[in-house]
Amino acid sequence: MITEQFLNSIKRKLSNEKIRINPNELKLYANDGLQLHEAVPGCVILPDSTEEIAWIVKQCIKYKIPFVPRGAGTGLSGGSVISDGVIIQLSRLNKILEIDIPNRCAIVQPGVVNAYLTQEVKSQGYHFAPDPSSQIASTIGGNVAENAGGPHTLKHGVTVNHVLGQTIVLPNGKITKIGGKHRYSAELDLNSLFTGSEGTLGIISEIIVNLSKDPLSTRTLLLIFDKISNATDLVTEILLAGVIPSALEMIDQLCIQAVENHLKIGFPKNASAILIIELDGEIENVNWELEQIKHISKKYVSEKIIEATSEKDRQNLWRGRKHAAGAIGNISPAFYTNDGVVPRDKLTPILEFIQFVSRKYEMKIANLCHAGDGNIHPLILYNPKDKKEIKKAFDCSTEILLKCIEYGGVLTGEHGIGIEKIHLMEKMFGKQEIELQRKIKHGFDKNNLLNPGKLIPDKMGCGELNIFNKQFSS
Amino acid sequence: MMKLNQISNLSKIIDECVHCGLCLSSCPTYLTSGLEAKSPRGRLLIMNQIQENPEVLDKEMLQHLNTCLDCRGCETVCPSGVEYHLAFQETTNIINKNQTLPFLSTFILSEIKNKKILPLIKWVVWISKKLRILSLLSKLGINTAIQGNSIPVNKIEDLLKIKSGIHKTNQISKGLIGLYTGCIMNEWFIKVHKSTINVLNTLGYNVFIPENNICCGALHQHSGDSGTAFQLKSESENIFKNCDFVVVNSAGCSAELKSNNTKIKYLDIIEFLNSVEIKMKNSWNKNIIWDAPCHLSHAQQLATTTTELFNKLKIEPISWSGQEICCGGAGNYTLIHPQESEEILKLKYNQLLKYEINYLVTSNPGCHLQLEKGRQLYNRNFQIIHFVELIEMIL
Repeated sequence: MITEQFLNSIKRKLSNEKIRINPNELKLYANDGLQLHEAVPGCVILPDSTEEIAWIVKQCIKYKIPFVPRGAGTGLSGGSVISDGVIIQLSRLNKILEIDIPNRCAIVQPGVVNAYLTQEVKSQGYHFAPDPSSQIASTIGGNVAENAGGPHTLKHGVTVNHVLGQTIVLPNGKITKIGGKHRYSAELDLNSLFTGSEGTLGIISEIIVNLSKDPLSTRTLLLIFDKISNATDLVTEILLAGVIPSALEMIDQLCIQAVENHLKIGFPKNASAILIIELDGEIENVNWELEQIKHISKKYVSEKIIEATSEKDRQNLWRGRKHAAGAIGNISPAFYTNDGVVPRDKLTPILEFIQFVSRKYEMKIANLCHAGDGNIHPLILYNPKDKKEIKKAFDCSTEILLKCIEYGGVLTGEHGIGIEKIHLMEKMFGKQEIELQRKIKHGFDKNNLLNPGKLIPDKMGCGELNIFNKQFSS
Repeated sequence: MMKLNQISNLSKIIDECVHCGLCLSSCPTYLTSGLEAKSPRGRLLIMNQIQENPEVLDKEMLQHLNTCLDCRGCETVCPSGVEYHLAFQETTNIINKNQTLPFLSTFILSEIKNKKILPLIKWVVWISKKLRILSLLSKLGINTAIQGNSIPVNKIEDLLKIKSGIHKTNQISKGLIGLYTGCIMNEWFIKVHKSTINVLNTLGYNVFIPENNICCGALHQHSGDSGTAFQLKSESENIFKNCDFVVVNSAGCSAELKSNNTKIKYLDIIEFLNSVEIKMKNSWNKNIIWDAPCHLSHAQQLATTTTELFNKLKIEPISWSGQEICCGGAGNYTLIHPQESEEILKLKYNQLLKYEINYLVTSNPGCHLQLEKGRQLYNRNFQIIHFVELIEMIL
């Protein structure tokens, strides 16, 4: 789809070094964090300003070439890959432009790595609250596009709660600014519309983000269980008691073992599940919450509660949690991360259902959950060299997601729909709502060139949209 | 066409990568280029392309692979435990059998092996420095001159070899330590060796100094010449046979020496110092930044040990972001990839320059030279010292 005319036009303005067309190099952009889907772009371009992005977009429109923005490529739903089109790679837009402590905000370019922003403001007692497990590498632009969550979203909110303003290159190549440093606004909430739109409505080129004050006190606990349902039942009870931990995370045995094989955090290898609970806030409140948890958990835990006694201990526990998915690489050559969400009281049945699916397909499934949010992450282990297993992994995930919908949940908590779950969108939202979403997309992108075929299904049957069937049925 | 069926482990290591991308922000060349091909994840895929189809080896892709510093920062953050350096080494060995290394690289590697030429170069560099020839040439932008100019030698006595044999402690000896004097360290960092002997003697140990230069073979290993690297490493087996253990004050060398099965017990100076009792005479009140060598933090995973040692010494280095990223020194990388090396150095200094410091502390000659180059570039007044020189000041 990339034509000579397009390339010549691009080369007239941008240096050759910013335009990547070596076929072997382009293959490296065939995946993001989702290994199940491959799409090799026709060209990768690395702009270093908003104006350059806008100019590239205009060229894409002129030559009718589809395009997609990409940050660090850590996404898990295939949102930043494109077949034959242009990847607008934003990794060079990686500057923190302004830190404004009096207004508790920062202005950043989209390629700034999430964790770097927190590092930069740490000495002043602030942090950037969204903390996806990929935060050491994923970019803030990507976080906004996917409306990323993380363990601490239970109390502190997801990315959309921390975006104050954005500069956006629209799919027609025009640059627009929405929001600002102000906190309240009378306009239509465009910030929320663009946040989580997965790069289908515009390309974010600057973001004003909220900075949060570090809590006065933090306590981190490790609870050990000999039955998974004890862990999930306890989650509901804790929240019922009025305790809102900043994080409430569950890890099951297979995951614990993968973590221990490589990272040696000190998680109990024989436990059926563990919960990592973090409490933060005013010292008195935290103490009260801790007492509540100790009291409620008595009948659920199989061993004494362990508390992190130093910041080093705490970081160690979080390292185990945040690297848990990646650690699966140690026990399986590939895994497929599901991101379904259920109402909290359905955690126990959904995990039982996952066990049933695991037996049915004879596939190993490890479980991580942002349990407090009802956001499950079954990690389906498969061999990427075995087509049948790839299909089975995909089918396992689909069954689990359909069950989530049945329970009143949703398809994704934080990884996005991308290309991966698009075949289930109509099932989730119904024809009418999907049509509304299509109209919004069309309103911004009438040529359907910006990240086509992602998030919002085109007007065709669900079966045709199942990219996995297309890719692996042969 | 090359035969790549000799690749044994490569496929297994590459398969362990789950493509999560958590390594990207730990990779200096990705940070400076923003290119997937210059990231660990991308490079593993290039290695995969190489093993699947050797014809893929076009010059541009090889260049992406070759600009890897082998700093192993990616291994520290990799949740899947991918042993990137092993895959990189295997691929480099194979590639280098089929291509000619740059002249400068071949020259340096052969000179390190040739024990007589290195001292001669040392004097040439020294004289050129004294006569300001190097500084003049470096102003003209000649890379080798810039590198030479960063060699921190001023006094003539710091160029004279230390007497070989045993340097005795004036206390009751706790044991005999061999000091791995090395090649580059033993020509240009004799001052650091003197401090090391002094520190070890003060702590109650006798120190054995070998007669000639020795070499761990790290630079050869990184350039894909495992054979020479192994041969060089084996030579030191006999030299230190009477020592209780051998202390290495260059992180690059200690990492390399530990990578082989050996009868000798090698300890990096940092882990040795952390394992013994240190009585301090002076407390420390200067501002320092500790820039951990990659071969200490990543290759030997001694970051926690270093923190423990600082705590023990009641020294609090300034906490700064960027210390886990390579400085761009990486052995002879500065000479082979000057442009990339300088970009990475600038990245490091962008962070470093935010702080007012008296000393910048490191423990590897390559890092020392590279950081000195940055100090000259940005015209700063702080001093760059080795960790043992810091210890010497408080003992």
